[in-house]
This record gives sequence, structure tokens and C-alpha cells, in this order.
Amino acid sequence: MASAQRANTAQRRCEQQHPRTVPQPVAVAVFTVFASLLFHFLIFWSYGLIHVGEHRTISVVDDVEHKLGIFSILVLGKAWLGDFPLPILGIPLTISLSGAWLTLRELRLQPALLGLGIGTLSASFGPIVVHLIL
Amino acid sequence: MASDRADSTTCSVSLTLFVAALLATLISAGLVWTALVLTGLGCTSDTSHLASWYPVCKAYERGAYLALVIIAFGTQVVGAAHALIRKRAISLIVGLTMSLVLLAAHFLFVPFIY
Repeated sequence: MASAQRANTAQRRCEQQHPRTVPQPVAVAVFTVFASLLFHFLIFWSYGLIHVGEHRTISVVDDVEHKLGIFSILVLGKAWLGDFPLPILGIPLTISLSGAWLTLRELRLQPALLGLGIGTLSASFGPIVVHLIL
Repeated sequence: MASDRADSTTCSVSLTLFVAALLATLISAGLVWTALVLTGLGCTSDTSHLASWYPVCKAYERGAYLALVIIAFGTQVVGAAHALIRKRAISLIVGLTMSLVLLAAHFLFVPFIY
């Protein structure tokens, strides 16, 4: 309670000194969520472009993808349904969001940064590990 | 001590730096995504007459895309996060520059590495 009051006092002092500013925990939390979403999108795409030895044939998706070309968003759908167990990406995203939420709640920067790091690493290598295990 | 910590953690980041960090990250993601799509397009079109390009495409199919994303975009994210933590714009500039250099270097060196 006392630390929250001190934080609020410090925040008010900062806002008086610098009117066009964003509180640092808010800035870091928003940035980590933003970066995490972009990272997941790129990781999703890079997995979508990987071909493993035996393709699982998804004829409807393949037909539409051939008509629309590589720019088709269905590349993502194919990755999701086919080669890698990509629904696991929900777990790293949850880790990132939880870190950002903890940062906003406790006004400490570490949870959001740790969430971004752990979430990104597990999103990058989790599907490979799961693919090797299964 | 506690109030010092509260000062250092809640005291604000300039709006310009915050927006610049978000914009630089978006630009970097856009460039990496464009690189992914163009390489994918190059490798899925008929390149049978380019025998030297084939191993490169095989490398991409086996995971070089993922390496590109992690290395190039990861550098930018680390740079922007450092800029927001230390409140220094120079980290953002260094991060974005390093990201662009790594993106270019990746394409220059991939044919020799894989």
C-alpha cells in the first residue's frame, strides 16, 4: 500500500516535470506485447514456409493457395493445420501477456522483459521440440 | 531506497522515444516479412535452370527462415527494449542499424554458408 502511494507520488512528480511522457512500465509493457505479437507473426510465417519430409496433404487449402499464390494468408493456415503443431504458439503468447500484465500491476520492468524473452524463445523452438518428440 | 526505485521505474519515457521504438520495430518486422516473402517467392517459382540456387532454397526450407527472423528481428527488439529501459535513443538507432545490416548480411552470406 505504502509502495503504491510512493509510486503514485513519483508518477505525479514525473508527469509535472515532463508533460509529454509515458510511464516507463506502461511503455515497456505495451512495447513487449507489440513486439511479441510481431515476433509470433514472423515465426508463424517462417514455419509456414518450412517444408518437412512428408507433407500432410490438405487438398482444399492447397488448391486455394495455388490459385492465390504465396501471398495467400492460407500459407499460415496450412502451417497451422499441417506440418507443425503450431497451436502451441498460444502458450508463449500467454507468457508474454502475463509478463506485461504483471509489469503494469507491480510497476516493475522485469516481468514484461522476461515474458518477452521466454515467450519468444519457446515460440521459436517449441514447435521443433514438439515435432521431434511426437 | 524504495522511493528511489519507484522513481527510477515509474519516471517516464518521452513520448517521442516510445513512438519511435514502436515504429522502428514495425519497420523492422515489415522488412523481415518482405524478405521472407520474396525469398519464398524466389524459391517456389521455377528455378530449375538455376542449379546454384537450389541448395539455398533447400536451406531455407530446413529452417533458415527461422534463423533470419530470430537474428534480424531479435536484434531490433533487444535494441528497442534497451532504449526504453535506459531511456536512450541511441540504443534504438544502433538496434535498427544492426538489424538492417544482419538482414543484408544474411542474404549475402547464405549462399556460402548453407
